[in-house]
Amino acid sequence: MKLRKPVPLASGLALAWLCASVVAAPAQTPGKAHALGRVVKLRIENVSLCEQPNGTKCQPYPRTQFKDPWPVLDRSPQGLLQVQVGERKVWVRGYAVETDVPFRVEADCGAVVASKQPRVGATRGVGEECVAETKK
Amino acid sequence: MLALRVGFLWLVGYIFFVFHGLSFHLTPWSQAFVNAIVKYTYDPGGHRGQNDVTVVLFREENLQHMGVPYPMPYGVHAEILDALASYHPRAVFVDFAFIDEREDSRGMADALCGLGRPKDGPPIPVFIAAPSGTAVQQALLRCAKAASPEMQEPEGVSGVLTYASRGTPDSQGTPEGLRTAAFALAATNPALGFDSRDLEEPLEIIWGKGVAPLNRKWMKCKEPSLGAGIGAMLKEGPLALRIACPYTRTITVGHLLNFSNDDDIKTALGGRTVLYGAGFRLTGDQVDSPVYAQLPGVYLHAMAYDNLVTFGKSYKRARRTGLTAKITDAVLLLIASVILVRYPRRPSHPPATFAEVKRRIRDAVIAGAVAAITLLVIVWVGGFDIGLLAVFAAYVLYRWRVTEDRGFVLLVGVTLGTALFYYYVMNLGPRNILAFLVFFEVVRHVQKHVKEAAERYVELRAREDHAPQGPFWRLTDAWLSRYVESAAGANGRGEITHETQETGTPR
Repeated sequence: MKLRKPVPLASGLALAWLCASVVAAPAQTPGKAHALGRVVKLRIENVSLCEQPNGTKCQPYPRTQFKDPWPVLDRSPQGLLQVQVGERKVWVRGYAVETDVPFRVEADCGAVVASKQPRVGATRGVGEECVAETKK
Repeated sequence: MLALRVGFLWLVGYIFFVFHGLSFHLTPWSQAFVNAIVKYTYDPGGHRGQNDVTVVLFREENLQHMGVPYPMPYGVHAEILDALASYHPRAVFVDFAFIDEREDSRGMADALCGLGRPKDGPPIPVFIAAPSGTAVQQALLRCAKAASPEMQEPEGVSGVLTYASRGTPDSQGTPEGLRTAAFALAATNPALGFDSRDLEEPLEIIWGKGVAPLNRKWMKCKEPSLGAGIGAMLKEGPLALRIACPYTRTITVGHLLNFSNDDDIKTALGGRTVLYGAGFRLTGDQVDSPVYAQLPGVYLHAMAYDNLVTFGKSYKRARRTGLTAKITDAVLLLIASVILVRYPRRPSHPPATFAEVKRRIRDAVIAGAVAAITLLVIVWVGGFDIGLLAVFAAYVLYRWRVTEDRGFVLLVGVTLGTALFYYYVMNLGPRNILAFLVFFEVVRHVQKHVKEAAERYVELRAREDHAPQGPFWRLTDAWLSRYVESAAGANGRGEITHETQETGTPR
């Protein structure tokens, strides 16, 4: 009977220590508090670093210049990742970089690839150029 | 005399075959049987083809998501090719025809070179779709080769079943026709062991039935419920239940560009044969198949290549209408005719009393109900394909054990044996086995009516005092008399006419 009391107490302490260690682990990594992950490698020779979240206004960044990991800050609706490169915040395509955790931005979920298509008597794009001319 | 009857039956049967009608109308059911068998026999262990091939699909939704119009700028293709190159595939077929010159053609050409001649690895074979009668931008062929994306005509409800080895010859440089995409890719895969002579005969596509595991992760692959499935089959035929997700492993351009550190993408592309194509609406690039709902055309090339990987040099040849196939069909029909004559169907014994009639009706209702419930359970547990095969097996069993129709069972054995011989030895595609079996039933009825008519003719002629006059009637008289004699001879082996059975007196 005397031995029974310390056993739950020890279990409780062990559990508390375990939880604390799990919570504390990310906090020990400096600068990662707001990051979703980190770019640890560049997968292609010249990665396009874009100013816009839709992948425009890009500048090439040679793989040889990559040294320290880049924190991933955000994801754009067009599927790009925002990363911190030195003082700059730029956007990159997911395939161009290797991240420490998987990023799956805007996955095509619930897609129907094979379906019965209605027969139509039309060709795509007929007249599109004319509309564009009128707009000008 | 037996030869006369065999010859007559063979002729009737062959007419059914040659004149398209019977086998054409049975094609949906025959195709459904083939689909069910293929589901369990097409590369069951290894999935070699499925593991090797990946389709990268540019979907309508990707266009909207990326904010690019149709047709896409070459720069978008260039970025996709860059992304593909980063995963080091084994070979790539680009199922887009780049015919028009654009401002960004140079960037596209560079991307093709980056893919085909990587600095950090061996060269990668890259092919671009070059439809007959068009000219692909020469600048793009610096590091890539042209391949024909030609698609054969669909064959009725079965869809596209054949795949040419070469496209239509073009007098402007490819007099023998470009290799089609699947054959071009196969020629670059040393693991398949093809030499150039092995890749000249057109292919009969075996549409593998199943869904790649990766596809189930992101596609909508819901199958209809039992009730809805039965309803659709009864309303639209056995091919109504087509699968909504393809056999070939597929990722989209969205997955390719926007995923990072994803093991599925790495597995799908690294060292694989990749076919990059589009699934856009209103472009007409669609393929009908016996197994799947309408698919983007790139899946035709993917399935054809899958066949070449799966079967290697034994790929199924598209020689359905060739002389060899016609001769073997004729031989099979001849065997069937001999079986018909040698093993005629035993007539059923009509009930002698009303009590027996009632007993038979009761037995039939109970047997029918048990069969229907068993079938429903089989379909519920194993699916419609197993259900269809179970119906076939049960019918053969019924004809064997209940009606004691040895001829039918023998013919089923011969037909299945021949189908296997065609498939595994002659490397021909699956045969329309159902048409053979229905031929057996139809011809047997024809034979019965001809025999009855001949017997009636001989009987009435015997009452006439005058012998038939003129060459036509003399020939008819001689033929029908001999036919009746041969049938009477066969009666000794178990063939009994209804008349003899009813009167008990042989004629």
